[in-house]
Amino acid sequence: MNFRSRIQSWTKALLRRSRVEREMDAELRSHIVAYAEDLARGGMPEEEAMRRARIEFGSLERVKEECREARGVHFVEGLWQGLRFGLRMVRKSPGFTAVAVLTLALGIGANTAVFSIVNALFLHPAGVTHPRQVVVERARYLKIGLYNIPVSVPDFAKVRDSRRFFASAALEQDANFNYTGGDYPVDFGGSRVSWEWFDVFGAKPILGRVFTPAEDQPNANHEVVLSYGAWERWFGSNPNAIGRTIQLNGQPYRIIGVMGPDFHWPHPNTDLWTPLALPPTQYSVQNTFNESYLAVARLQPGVTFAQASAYMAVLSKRYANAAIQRFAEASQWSIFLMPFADHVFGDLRTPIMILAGAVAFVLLIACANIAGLLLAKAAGRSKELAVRAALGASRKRLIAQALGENASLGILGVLAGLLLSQLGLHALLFAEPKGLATGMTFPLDGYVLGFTALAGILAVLVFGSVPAWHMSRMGPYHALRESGRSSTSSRGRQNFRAWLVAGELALGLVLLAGTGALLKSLARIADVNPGFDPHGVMTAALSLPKQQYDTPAKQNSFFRTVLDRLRETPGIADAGAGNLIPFVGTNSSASFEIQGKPTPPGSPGPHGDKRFVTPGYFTSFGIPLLKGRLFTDDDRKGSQLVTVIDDNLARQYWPNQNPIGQKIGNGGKTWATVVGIVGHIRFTTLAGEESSSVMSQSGSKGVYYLCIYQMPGTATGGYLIAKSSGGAASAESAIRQAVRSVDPNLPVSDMMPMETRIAASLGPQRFAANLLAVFAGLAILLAAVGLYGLISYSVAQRTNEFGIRMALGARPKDVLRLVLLQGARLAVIGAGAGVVAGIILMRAMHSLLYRVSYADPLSFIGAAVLLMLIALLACYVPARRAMRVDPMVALRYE
Amino acid sequence: MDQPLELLQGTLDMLILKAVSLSPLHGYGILLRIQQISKDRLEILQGSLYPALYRLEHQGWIASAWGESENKRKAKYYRLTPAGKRRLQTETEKWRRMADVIAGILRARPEEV
Repeated sequence: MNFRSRIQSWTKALLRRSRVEREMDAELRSHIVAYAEDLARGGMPEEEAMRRARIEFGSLERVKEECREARGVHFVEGLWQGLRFGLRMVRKSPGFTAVAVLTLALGIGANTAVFSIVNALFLHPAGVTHPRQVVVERARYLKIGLYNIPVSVPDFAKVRDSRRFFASAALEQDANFNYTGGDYPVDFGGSRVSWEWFDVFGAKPILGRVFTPAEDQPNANHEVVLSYGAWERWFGSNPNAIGRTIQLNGQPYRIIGVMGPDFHWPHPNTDLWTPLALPPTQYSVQNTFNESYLAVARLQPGVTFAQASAYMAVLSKRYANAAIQRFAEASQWSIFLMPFADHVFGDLRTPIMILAGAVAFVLLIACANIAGLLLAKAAGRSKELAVRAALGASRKRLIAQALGENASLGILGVLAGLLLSQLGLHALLFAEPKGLATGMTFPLDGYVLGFTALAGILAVLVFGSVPAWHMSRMGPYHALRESGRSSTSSRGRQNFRAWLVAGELALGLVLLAGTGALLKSLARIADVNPGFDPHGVMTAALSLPKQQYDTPAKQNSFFRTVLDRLRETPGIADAGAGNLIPFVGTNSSASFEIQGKPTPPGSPGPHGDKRFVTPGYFTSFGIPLLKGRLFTDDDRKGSQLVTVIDDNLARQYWPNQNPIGQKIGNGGKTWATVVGIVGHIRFTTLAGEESSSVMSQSGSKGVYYLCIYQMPGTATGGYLIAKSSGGAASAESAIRQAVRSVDPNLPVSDMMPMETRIAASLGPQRFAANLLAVFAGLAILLAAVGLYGLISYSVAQRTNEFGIRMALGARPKDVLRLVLLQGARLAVIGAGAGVVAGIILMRAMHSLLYRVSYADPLSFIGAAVLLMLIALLACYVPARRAMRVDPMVALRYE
Repeated sequence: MDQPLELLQGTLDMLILKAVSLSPLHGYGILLRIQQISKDRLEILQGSLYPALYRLEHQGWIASAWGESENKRKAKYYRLTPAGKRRLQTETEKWRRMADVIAGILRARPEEV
């Protein structure tokens, strides 16, 4: 069988119909003429010969019809006819068309919108060529509870030097750049990258060039590549910006290139890139367990993720020396790979996949609704079809025509759906969790259009094949007979519609129950006590330029003065600072030693989260002091080194002992004395394991705090915290003023109330819950419309019956009950099936649920009750109509 | 003269493929060629020839082009495609085996069973 020749004859049938017809006619006629000539040559009179030839050939039209059938033309022609017929019907019954197209558009629009997000986040992240080949290298210490953390420079070197598996590799560290060339100081979100960074993503600059290996050297780092956005905003899209020198952090940087508008990695809002320019000493094996970099790599063409991952296991085991091997094995350390998209958007994967499932349900319900409408409509046309079938139209041809009719609905639905999806995307973006995909665009590209077309075709096949199959299955005999009396009309068809509606209700229930479980979980999470009081706390980030603040004394003095000024501001109750604050997504941890407690062989030794803070950090956040004291202003350079630990750390390493007075250290020379124990605070998530795409750790991890004034070099930046009595917002200007009064050129960034940060950490769950609620509402609305349509139709069909019942003494109430019961039966079946399906399907959601079972009884019961109410409401309107039937009218009604 | 045989079901396609494998022919020419080779012992309904031709073309086994007939008329000529050639070979092979088997069965004598 030759596929191409079929396509050719189908296209011929469609596009060159009249020519093919003409040629066929000419061919057959020439046959008859040739035969007649032969007969005449045999001595027959010419006229007689022609007559004989015609008779022997048979009916010309019948032969032509058989030829058309043989060419497969009928199917195509049937579709074509159906399409034209369908468009005529569309114009003739605008009400039906509007309902069907709108239903389909809702289904397709929702799918297209969600697919646009899947496409932009996971399938084709902007600015990355062959994104499946781009991976992120990560490290983990299973014994210490670190499952997914950045890597060290030696870790990166292992990957960079494995050219058999990795075509290119690059290292990155975020850095803020204070740009003072404009009217006021601006904080640029910068990224220091090793020179292959852009190659890894397959990104090319639109202007100029990117870094050379020579520029990625310690003493040469004075080039900068701008993002398209920064070039547009700060340099007016001027091509002459290339070659210009700008001041960043008080240093001159020459602009050498501008990236395209779609490339902005590692973050969706990166403004510029400068060379990382690591000195060779950084590659020392001493740094093996000193992780603070993002490493990315591009797999060699043909190398799969699984192969490269397997090789990472080999690389992990190549220890530089025995000491490293001992610690690596004791802590179960290894390096591994993650797909790039999973690293960046991993938190969104489950919510998005759940939404994708939800919109698929919505589309299925929409299809079932349209199928129901078409079935109802088909009832009115059964006689016409029966006549055509009786006259010899083949079943294939009838199906083709029905599909063609539906295709016209499908095309309109797809177009309207595309429009709706673009509107819907704006709504989705509005609901999108802040910070997870900010700055992302969701382009309507070829993939999205292709998906939409495919969804449309599938939808047409699904909703179209049901009535088409139904129509053609019915023999002409049945249809002709059936059209006699309407009261017994199309039992099978009505039954089928009822099953469709029950299915719709079941799908609706699954979505309702899922929404219920998510909302319940959200409420539970929001109730979690983070261990501190975020109310009225404003936070902001800053970073001190190295050139200007070149000594610890200058750095300390900056923080002391700013915090003093802040505390003096009316309305500010307290102020503090720290290198890290909760719910910004980053964390940092380190191993330590306890004086007098040597680490036993085979154990990784003590480990904890490490934070550098000012004394006001605890009081501003309201972190409770459980024992001992907090830092004071007397804890300064030169005084005894002290540390404050949290109760988790105390329990972990001093069970049933008093840790106060114990000494911890790192490296043996200096020991910090434990002076106080504070309560543990949630740091990256409110619920469950503390994990995010940036850093993950177990929720029970201990913390030790050091005072920034005692630790030289730790007061170079971080976050300011201001506790205000009058709400967080009022502290914003206080922070800005305090900083400006000390250093007018220093920009403050990432200003955000603490409560907003906590709420944002619930982003993925809230995103899923909100959208699932919308889609569940859509699904249940469509299902209700389907039920309404079914019951209305059935009431209209049974008018006669109701008339007879009422004539025989039935009260309107009885009729009402009869109709409501019909609907309630369907709703019960739907709800039952939905509960079963929901318990199976909602397992996929369990990672989003906190202290709520995916088979949460309350969610299912609530959903079922809601479903019943909506179902009864949908039946009530037609039921009232049935109740008001006038027996006299009804009996005459036929 | 013997009464012409009626064509066995499904054999027309094979005969058409064979006929056009010798040289490109128009529809009427195919009819004549088959009758000539069979020495008029086969009866082919004229009307059934064309649907078969169209079907074979749809399946890609023969291809057509307009040309001029021997008596200077425009006519549609059919020729065998490479795919058709392979098809003809397998069909011929199948037919031979089938004929052997059937003939063997029909030759069977009581003592052989």
